[in-house]
Amino acid sequence: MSETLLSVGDLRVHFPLRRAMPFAPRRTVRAVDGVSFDVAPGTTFGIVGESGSGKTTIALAVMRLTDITGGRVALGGDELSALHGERLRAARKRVQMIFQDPYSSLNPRMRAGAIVEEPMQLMGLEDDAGRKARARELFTQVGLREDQLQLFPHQFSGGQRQRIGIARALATKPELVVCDEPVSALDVAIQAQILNLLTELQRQYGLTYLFISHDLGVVQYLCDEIAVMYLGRIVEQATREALFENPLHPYTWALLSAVPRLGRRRRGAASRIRLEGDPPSPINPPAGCRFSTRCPFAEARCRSEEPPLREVHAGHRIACHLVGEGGAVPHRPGLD
Amino acid sequence: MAEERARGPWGEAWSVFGRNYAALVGLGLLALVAAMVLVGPLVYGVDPFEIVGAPKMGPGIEPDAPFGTDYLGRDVLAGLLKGGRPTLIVGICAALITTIIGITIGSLGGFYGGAVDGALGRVTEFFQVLPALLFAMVLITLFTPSLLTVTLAIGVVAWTGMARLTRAEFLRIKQLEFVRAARSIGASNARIIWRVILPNALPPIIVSATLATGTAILFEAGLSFLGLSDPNVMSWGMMIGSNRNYLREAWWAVTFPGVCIFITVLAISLVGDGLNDAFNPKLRTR
Amino acid sequence: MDSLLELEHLEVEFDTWDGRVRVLDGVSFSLAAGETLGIVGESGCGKSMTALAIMGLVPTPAGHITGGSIRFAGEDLVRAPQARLRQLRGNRIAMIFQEPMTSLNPVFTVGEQIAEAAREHLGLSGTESRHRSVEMLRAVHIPEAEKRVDEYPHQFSGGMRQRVMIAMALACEPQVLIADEPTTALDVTVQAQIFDLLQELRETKGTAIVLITHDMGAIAEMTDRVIVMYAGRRVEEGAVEDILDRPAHPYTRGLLACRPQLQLGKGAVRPALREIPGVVPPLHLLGRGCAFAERCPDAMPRCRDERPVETVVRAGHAAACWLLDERREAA
Repeated sequence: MSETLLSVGDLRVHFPLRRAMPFAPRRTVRAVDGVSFDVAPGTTFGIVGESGSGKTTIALAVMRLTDITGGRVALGGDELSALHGERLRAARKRVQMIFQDPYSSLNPRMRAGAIVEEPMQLMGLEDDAGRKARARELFTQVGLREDQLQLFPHQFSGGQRQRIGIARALATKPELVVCDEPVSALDVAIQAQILNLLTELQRQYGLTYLFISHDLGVVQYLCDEIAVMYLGRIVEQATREALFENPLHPYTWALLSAVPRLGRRRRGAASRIRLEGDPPSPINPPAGCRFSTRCPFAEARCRSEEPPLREVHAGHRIACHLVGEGGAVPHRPGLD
Repeated sequence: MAEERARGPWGEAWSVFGRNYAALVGLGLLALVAAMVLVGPLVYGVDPFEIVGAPKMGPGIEPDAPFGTDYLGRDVLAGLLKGGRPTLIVGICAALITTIIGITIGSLGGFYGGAVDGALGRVTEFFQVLPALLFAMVLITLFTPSLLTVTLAIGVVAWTGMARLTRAEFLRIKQLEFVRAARSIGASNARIIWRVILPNALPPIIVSATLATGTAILFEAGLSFLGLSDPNVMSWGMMIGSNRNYLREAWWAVTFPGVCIFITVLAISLVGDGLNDAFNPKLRTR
Repeated sequence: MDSLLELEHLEVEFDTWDGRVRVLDGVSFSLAAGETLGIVGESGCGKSMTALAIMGLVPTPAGHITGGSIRFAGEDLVRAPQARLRQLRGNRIAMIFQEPMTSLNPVFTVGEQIAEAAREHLGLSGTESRHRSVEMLRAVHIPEAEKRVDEYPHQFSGGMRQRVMIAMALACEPQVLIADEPTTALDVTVQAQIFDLLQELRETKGTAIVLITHDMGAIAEMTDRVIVMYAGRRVEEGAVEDILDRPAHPYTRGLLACRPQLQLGKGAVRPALREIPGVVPPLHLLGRGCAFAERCPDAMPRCRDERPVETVVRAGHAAACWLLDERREAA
């Protein structure tokens, strides 16, 4: 990779659980368990996975909104994971976040304008007049009207609220914007408006996005490079073209084939890998390959030995024993 | 498209409150009581401790004492007008004390969680299991009965509900995304507690504080009834307390202050319920 | 075609702070045994209200059915007494909801909850109904059904709870199952399992399904026929092929184009995306014309003044849009 803005190395985030009984062994949720990736400036890096895969925890760890158990997060060479106190607070203007739920991510008792100005105020950017001017400018950029600055969040629709959230995230001119499922709480027809706004803003201001989503269609639309997560680990990582043309990991394949598509009429089940059950709990991840309990191709080796994430093509990394060198896959390749 | 107005959540609540007749009646009664207590003594200058006539004189007999006299011959009307002020002051101040203690303990426990919450939770439980009236009586008798000690005693025994309410609100609001958003833009813990979470937790706290005022007034009346009030200050509770032995012969000396307390507490409850509905518009039915 | 459930010009009105609004305005469809009908639209379009009206669960006192009919096996449910609706509900017509986390009662075992419907409607005894519960859990592919029947909802995962919901709904072998966004809260691999399960039940038991969704992909995979709703009105109806391949209403075209559709395999490119501008108008501000006119890329002056009448495009495919009228006149 040429240039790197965000570099995540062997990131681990574990949450200790309360003991079930006094003196019972303390259990740990291994939400993120050894994840590494790099994001180039001006690109969008997507992380997809189902609930419990740890994708949102990665977003929170990069934002330093959750404690990091191990590993490092570096932004443009500065180690965010090593900062504390005032230096961490000052660094926050470089990484901002767009949240999932536009209904709970805005303080209902603040006016829209104040919400957008607050980050600048806390970071000590600009004077009062400058902040007001910047808030007006941001409002126009995200497709809201200046006269709406005086309104309260409940006077906006869901899509408009998400626009306010985007304006707030851009207020400090961050280098990296972390988007945590920014459209999944919105109505279908509104999602496209927000996705188009995000791509437009990226084109205009050269933004870098870390994009967390469970929606593979959205990820394909927006992301340049994608990591697929399962139970706290990356199982496959590739460019958009490679991932959707030629998915290698059985889990990626199952995930992609599970998405309902317009072309598949009435009986879709025939063309799917059918996964039984739900993902196992990240409290006691299975031994060996974490996907082995649901993988239709799993062998004895998969249940005992954890496959490392290795590169099979240039830029295409995968963690599966069954994929041969050069990307020979265990499953039927053809996806319609 | 309809004209959009920048009406905030408080303005919204006020307009709902304005459509609630029961609450408006409560507000009206409260204004009446306040006028009577604030303006009354200025207009009607009789000293409530002064003996103005024969004892146990019924209302309407003597024009000088239209509400009658008590067992010592003191003017009941003067007592009603003058005795409202300490009653209300004790009620409001005690409610303020419970609110301040409750918010402090509840917000710190709810926000920090863990060991802080554990410790504060134990303290709250300790005060909760104490029999409130007995504890207040002990406090008042330890220090001589005065307006200040009565107010403090009520405040100190009554804050646990407020602390639990505040803690619950903090626990709920803490996990909303805008709190996370505030942290991600570098807000300090103090700012998150006071400027982000607390304003959102205020509606139920205000309702509860309003109702606490009513409770404190009743508590004060109860203590006075037991003789634990400032003997130098006329209050409704003290009127009831000192005249209770003569209820058969001079019912008016007990009934009128009782009615005053009843109306005041009722009005406060109506306003409190109205505020509650106004702050939770989802619960209201048509 | 014999229709099992038939809605004709159903109208539901609600009293709100902004006055009385019509949340369903002349909704019609018919559903045959063993058929799957999709109802698609944005939130607030009346999809869920249609389901509640069929179940006789329009929230009172604010809501009223003010016109039209709902015929189930020939019987008009709008005029049926509450007692009759209770007999049908959960027995002949059943419903599953979006939120499997909150739709189960946490203080009863799943077995008790499934058995309740069976006892109520089929008059089964305690042992028989327990038997039935186990049988139903097996039918929805819950492993170790004999053991899990005695567990509580919190011991089940999200996907498993939705299976329990389906087991409850199917305990009395209903003829119609209404599924209101049954997989919205679930992961995509679990959604696929639930869809497979619904397909299987339809094939083995002949249950007719009304699937309410906002996802055109789910419509494609699951349904035979589709109605598209907007602001309480039916704007298009047709076979699934008509709706997906030859949509006649601009709103249907918008719904199809506004979500990035996954492209897979050789030559997979970035999917196209076309947004529908604006938002659904508040129902009390709807004008005389077409409800979609404000957001429609092809709106004509006529669309704002006159409500479009439904035009038959081809057999079984109709849409309410003036553009079709224009085109027909031009032809």
